[in-house]
Amino acid sequence: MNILNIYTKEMKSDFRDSQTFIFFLAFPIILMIILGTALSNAFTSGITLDEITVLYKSDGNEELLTHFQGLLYEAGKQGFTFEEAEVVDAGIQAVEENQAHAFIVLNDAGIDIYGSDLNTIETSIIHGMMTAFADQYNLYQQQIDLDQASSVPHDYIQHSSLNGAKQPDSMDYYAVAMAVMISFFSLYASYNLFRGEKTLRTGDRLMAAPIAKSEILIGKVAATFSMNAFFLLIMIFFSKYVFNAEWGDHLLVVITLLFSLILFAICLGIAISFIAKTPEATATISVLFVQVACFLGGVYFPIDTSSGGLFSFFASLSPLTWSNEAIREVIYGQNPAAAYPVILLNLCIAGFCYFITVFYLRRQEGL
Amino acid sequence: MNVLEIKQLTKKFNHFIAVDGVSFSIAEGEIFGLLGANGAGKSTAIYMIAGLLKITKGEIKLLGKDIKKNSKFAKMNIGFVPQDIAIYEDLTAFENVKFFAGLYGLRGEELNQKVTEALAFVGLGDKEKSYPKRFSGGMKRRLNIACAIAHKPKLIIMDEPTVGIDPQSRKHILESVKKLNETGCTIIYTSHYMEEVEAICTKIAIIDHGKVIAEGTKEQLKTLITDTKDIWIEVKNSDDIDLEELKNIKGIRAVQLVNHTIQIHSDAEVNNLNDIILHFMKMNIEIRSLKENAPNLESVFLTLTGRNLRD
Amino acid sequence: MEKWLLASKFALVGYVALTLLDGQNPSVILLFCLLYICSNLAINIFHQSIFKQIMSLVTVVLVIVATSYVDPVFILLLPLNIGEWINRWTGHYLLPMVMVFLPVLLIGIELQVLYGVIAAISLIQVFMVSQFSKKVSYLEKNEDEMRHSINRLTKALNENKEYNRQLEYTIKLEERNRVSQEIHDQIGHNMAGALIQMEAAKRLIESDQAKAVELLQNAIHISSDGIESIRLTLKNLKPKTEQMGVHRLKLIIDDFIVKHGLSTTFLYKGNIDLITPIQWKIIFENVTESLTNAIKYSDATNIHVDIHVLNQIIKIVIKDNGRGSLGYTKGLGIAGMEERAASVNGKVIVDGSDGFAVTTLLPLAN
Repeated sequence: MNILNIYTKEMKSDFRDSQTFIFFLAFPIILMIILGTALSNAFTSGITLDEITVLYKSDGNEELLTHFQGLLYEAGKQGFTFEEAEVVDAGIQAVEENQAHAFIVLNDAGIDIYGSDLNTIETSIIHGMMTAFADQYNLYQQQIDLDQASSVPHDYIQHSSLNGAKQPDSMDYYAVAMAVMISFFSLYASYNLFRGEKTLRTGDRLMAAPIAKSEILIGKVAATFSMNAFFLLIMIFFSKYVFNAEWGDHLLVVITLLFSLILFAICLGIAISFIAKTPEATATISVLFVQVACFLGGVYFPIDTSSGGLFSFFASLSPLTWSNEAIREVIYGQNPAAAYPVILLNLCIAGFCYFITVFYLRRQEGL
Repeated sequence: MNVLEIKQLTKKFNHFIAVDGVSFSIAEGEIFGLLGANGAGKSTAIYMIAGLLKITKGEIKLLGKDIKKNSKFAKMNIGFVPQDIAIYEDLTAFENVKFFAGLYGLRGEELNQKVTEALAFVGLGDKEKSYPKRFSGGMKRRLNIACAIAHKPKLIIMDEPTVGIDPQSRKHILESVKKLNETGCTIIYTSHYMEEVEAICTKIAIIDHGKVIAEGTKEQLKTLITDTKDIWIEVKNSDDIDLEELKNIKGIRAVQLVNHTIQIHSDAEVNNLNDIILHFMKMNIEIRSLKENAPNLESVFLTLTGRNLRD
Repeated sequence: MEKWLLASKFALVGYVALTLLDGQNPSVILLFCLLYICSNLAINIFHQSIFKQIMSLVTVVLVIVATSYVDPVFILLLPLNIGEWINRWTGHYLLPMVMVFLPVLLIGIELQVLYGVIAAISLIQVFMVSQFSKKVSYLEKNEDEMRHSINRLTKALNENKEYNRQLEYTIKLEERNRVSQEIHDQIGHNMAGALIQMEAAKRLIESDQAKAVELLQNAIHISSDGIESIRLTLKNLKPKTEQMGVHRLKLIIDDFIVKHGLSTTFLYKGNIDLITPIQWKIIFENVTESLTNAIKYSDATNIHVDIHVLNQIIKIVIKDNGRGSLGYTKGLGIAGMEERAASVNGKVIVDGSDGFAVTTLLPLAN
């Protein structure tokens, strides 16, 4: 019951503060409009994929090859170039040297794809496409088993991953980036949760009341989570219906991922406030950490994590990068499975921070 | 029956001993004053009673139950008014009290009723819907008290509840402390203001360097130091004064005339000022000035600890 | 506690030996297993922590050598040893955790899971052992201190009793001496004088009655003087503890001035007669203790001793102008003063904020 008490109190405080609305709603939406429109030209040319070159080699599975050629025909219209490699080694080498984006081997066992880490977007598109192809092919094979007489359908190549509309334009990009950003901004809401009680002196009063520290912690985390989740959902639907931003077909997975990121940020913020000794240190660390993570996570402008340089290495360390890439993979790669490891990772770090907090709360007297 | 019993209470912060083997007990219905300079250990002692600090050594019993083992019971029966104003500025006065009272298991209609009562009690009944941002220091102090009494605790701990406020609010707070006491609450009261403690406390303990150095009613404390007082009366014309007759007034031990001033040495406990003045009036002697040097808590504190309460 | 660590090490080495012995080179493997057992026993045999650490390090090196040159399975022995070593070395928990899990990255995939499980269990064990041994040593230390203080208290109690007995005896003796002296000096003379007068009166009563009456009157005077002087003597003979007390305290302080050359002032105020012998004893001891402390720690140039007898309380303040101490620890000296004061319901307050001041408050006995 006390958890609910804390929860309602926190919600009241949060929603009465106009700053909350400015910070968690107005700011990201305005930033989205500014960045999305100002950078739209530069951006679109940057992300639009010129031409995807794919090498392939057939290893005698004639039936598969027939179907694959159907794919070649359709895909050729979408900006793909397919070339047949002479030998397997040559194909792999071509990918290694970045002459082709991927190399596909068709054999009796199935389809092998050799992708390059240098071109994540292209590789994932090809991967998505081939996965879809394989699924369709399997389906088709089973149909053949069931009904030999039915004619071969040739429309399975109409897979959404090849739709032109699914190329991310600048608004799509920043909608995702801002969603990731305000999820991570939860840290700003959380680092003061316990510090605030200390500076307001209400911590003493709470400790004098018959309420466990764990109840306070859970109530506060739950309230902050609800508040941030609420603003996140508003922002997502606002961008989806007002700016027509692309959120893909697996919105639930994307939202789950963002929720896990919120939880991560909240727990991290609280843990920082306990580890840092002074309120100033807490604020400095939090602000610095969030801003650097946002910058590296490609919130303000896209950062290519696949270029292999030092900068991209740092960028790949940002939790926002993981989430950003995973969400794009879900939306454009049609691959919800890409979100699960990131969700798991976020929850693990959140759990770790939570235990740090519990450790400090148990050890110290007062809040 | 003793509401609170403290035995050999000790608190160490690393090597620093903030509270050192303090023992005292508080009977039901008392207003127990804790006097001590800053850093004497009174806040630390209070924090341990309120359950904010862990007890290093010793025992605290509330209504006969050890508070370490019955921490929930203890907290339910204690109302804690912290030294600093501890309220949420973004909640209204009503919501503030309601939130804190709600932590004590009060619900629904009962909760609302008790919150209204508490606010009315401290004289903020008409400010229920206002935000404390716009309150004066005194009003915040009163709200600070309301937050601690809505759940009707048996023991109320007030840590310097009158710091930095106007005389009117101070008077109001002192009156409400007395009223609370009349409704059956036992109160622990700490203050820097000796006059406050002298005015409302039924029993007083003086704490210095973590130890209780004296304890008792204010009269008992005063007699620790001395049982006499001096009265100086300056008169216009001292020629026809019969000093021997003055000595017949009860309590007077010695009388001396120096220039135009009559120095009277008297028992401290006897209130004979009226009789003395009456005597002068009967003799038709004009009094120019009158000074009484009776022991007060301030002098008790100064004599015992060697320093002023407000350093 | 460390026995349990040893037991799990042997269990692990047993497992390693069993998995490896039927393969190639059983003799080398046996050699390493035995070496491992020896070095671990050595850790337990030594008592000095430096040797323990050296042997721990040797064991870790041994395991690494065995892993790299004999068989990778030996790595399973590493976590327990490396955890134990680093935990003993630093006392930390995080560092051993990192170091224990670090090798996961270096070993083959087939051993990783097993290694991970063993590492986790080993860490838990190492931490538990370390925590319990800390607790045990803490409790032992506590017990020791308690035994000490019981000893000290018993001694103090006995001394107190002895002192009281002696004091009582001395006072009695002194009283007896004085009574006999006074009786000899005054009453004796008086009585002798009266006796002579009465003897003379008896002889003259026949011949010269007027003279006899005069002599008798004289004898009566002398006798009544004698009675008066008996009363006076008895009155004067009340034990003058206050005189003894103040003089003795002055003696202590003078002695201190002579020995240490510190300027020391002594003041007393109020009705000093009300202090009882046992309170004087406490005052002497606390003053001596404080003066000694001042010499030892304070760098003071002046010490002030002040005794103030109030209505119901005696206040004794010993204050120096030295450097004071805010974070003093309560040593035996201060604890002793507190105990002595507590024996007569008194309190001792120590204030190191401005010089060093020890205030003893003793209630006056009614």
